[in-house]
Amino acid sequence: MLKGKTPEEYIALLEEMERNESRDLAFIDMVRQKTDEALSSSGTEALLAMESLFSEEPARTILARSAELLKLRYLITAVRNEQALGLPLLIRDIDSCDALLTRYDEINLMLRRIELDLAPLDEEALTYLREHRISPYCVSAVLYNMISSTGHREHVLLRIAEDAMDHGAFLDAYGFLNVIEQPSPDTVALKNELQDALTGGGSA
Amino acid sequence: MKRIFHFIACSNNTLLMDECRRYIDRLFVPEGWRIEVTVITDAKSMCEGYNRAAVMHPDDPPRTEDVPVRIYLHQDVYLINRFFLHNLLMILQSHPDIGLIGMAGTPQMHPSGVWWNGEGVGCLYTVTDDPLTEEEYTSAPALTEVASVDGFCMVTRADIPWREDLFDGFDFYDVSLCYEMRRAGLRVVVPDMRHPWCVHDDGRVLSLYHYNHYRKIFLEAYGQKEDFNVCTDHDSVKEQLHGPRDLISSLDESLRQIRESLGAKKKEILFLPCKASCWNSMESLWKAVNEDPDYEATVMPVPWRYRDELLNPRDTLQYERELFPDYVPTVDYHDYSIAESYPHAIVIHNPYDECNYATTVEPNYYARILKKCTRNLIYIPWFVTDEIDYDSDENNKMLFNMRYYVTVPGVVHSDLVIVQSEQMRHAYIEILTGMSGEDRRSVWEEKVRGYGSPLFDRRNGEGYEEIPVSPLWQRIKEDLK
Repeated sequence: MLKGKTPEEYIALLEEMERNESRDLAFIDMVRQKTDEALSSSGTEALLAMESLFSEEPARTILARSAELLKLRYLITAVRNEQALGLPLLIRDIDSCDALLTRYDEINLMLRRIELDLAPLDEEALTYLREHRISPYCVSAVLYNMISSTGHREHVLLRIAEDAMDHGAFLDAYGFLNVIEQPSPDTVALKNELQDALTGGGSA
Repeated sequence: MKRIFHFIACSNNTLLMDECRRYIDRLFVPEGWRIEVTVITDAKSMCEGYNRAAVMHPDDPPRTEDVPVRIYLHQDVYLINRFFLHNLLMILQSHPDIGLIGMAGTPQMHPSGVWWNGEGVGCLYTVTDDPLTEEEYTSAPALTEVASVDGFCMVTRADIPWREDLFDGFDFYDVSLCYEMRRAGLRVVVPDMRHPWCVHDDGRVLSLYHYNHYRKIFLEAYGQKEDFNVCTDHDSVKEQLHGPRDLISSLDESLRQIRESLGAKKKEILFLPCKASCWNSMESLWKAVNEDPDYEATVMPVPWRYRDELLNPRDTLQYERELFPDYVPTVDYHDYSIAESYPHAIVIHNPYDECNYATTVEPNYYARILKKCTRNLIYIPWFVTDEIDYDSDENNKMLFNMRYYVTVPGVVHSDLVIVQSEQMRHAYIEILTGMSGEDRRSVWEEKVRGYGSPLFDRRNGEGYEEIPVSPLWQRIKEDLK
């Protein structure tokens, strides 16, 4: 928020926010209502159609000052990816905006436990992700974004992939490896090896 | 009576607050102290909630005697350095004039009243791939005196009422308290931290719709006063707090005494023998630790099982605690949580985990799990062998067999692997490098040490007195992190 702003510009921004509070809060409220409707009755397509809400002003400005809206947007993109690949949808057991945001926060907290290797909480976190069938796209959406403060991201995804393999879910493991951004050479090799095993490829 | 660290938070999200508490529960609590947590779920403002939790009224005079150390934190703050409380105590005990400690702040308040428009000090958690360390102060830390700190985590040693008369929202309560603290004659500081002590996961997007309103109130209340800025020269303040070198030395000594008088905890070395018949591979080392005034030894035999022909663990649990000598005090694994105790080091002598076809310790005691419960996992083999020369062609069969006890989880996961000789160390390093690749050689060179084995220490009789004190301990001690 402060990036590239002088103190004077920052004060001007605070004043602008103060002036536009009602407009911003009304927009946030409208998005929440539409999310509630989509999740409770209208269905997945209605939720995915909400992406267009964020593309124009003043929505883009408001988006940059509401973590809540950003979380919704990240998860909607994840759901779109899940739908495209025929994966179980994150929203299959979620019927309200609050519940969706809670799911985001839960995943975020679990990823931090894994990042920090917080025994035994990290094992609980892996169990949570497994039992809720959280897809690689969801994990990636929560991990790789401008509001995430979880680091050691390759380590996090490797641990989730390892856990998936320990439970025989090799395709899931491949999915988690596949969403690692800028993977290390070791991870690339592991991913290729797994891909060969899954597709029956590789050298004889 | 124990003194109190009183955690206080205003919360509107049970999920986040519960997680915040999990991190509080993991903290190491100094001897003579205990933790209390108060959560205010219906605060009208931060000041109102905090005053209510600390039983303060805005008109109350400052309270400095017999006051708990209060730690005001946001519900989205996760304390990741378990030495957090020890470090706070170190600072507060060495500087009686410090009233408030923050994790981030500014030495010089910007004229706009927005603290982060000025120079920032402190250590915030950032997205990184660098290793994290839970740093613990063992002597007086460097501190920076600041004009204001951020409110996500504020530690006070005096009860100065929060200005709910001025700040009836959720902004500027923090900056205001810093000024009130100074008016009461107490200093506000941020300690130097190499690694962050906490994560503040505020979503990085601040909805500061009312910030400007309270900024104006702040400037009106404090902006025209002489004490608006603490200092103009950040470095000079820092030097003042560092003090001359000889003063620091005497301070370190007094802190050492304070720690002793508080019953500073000895470092725990946890021995996890498996079979009682193999206890002699640890015994002389255990005695050395037992007689070291800075350490305490705990022995906890771990349960194990035979495996069937399909490698499934058999039903009957093998637990040999009763077979240990009477002079070895042992604890029952039911009564001891390794994760909670977080011993300084854990010593194991069974390296196989799930890789032994005949037996397995219970999975809770696999090396990869234990590694998370200590800074120093130490493996010492329960056996010694004839010396093996890795570079000789005559030892091919022995070298082949070594793979069964070298490339195993206990060796790979341990931070220190103590083998019987330098020659065996060489063989271990070559075999492990052969398994993992040349670029990992330095890892094995760092962790495998050819110091010897407790099995070489000869005892002269049956009792405790007859157990030799292993010279290994002095060398291992120097290697501990």
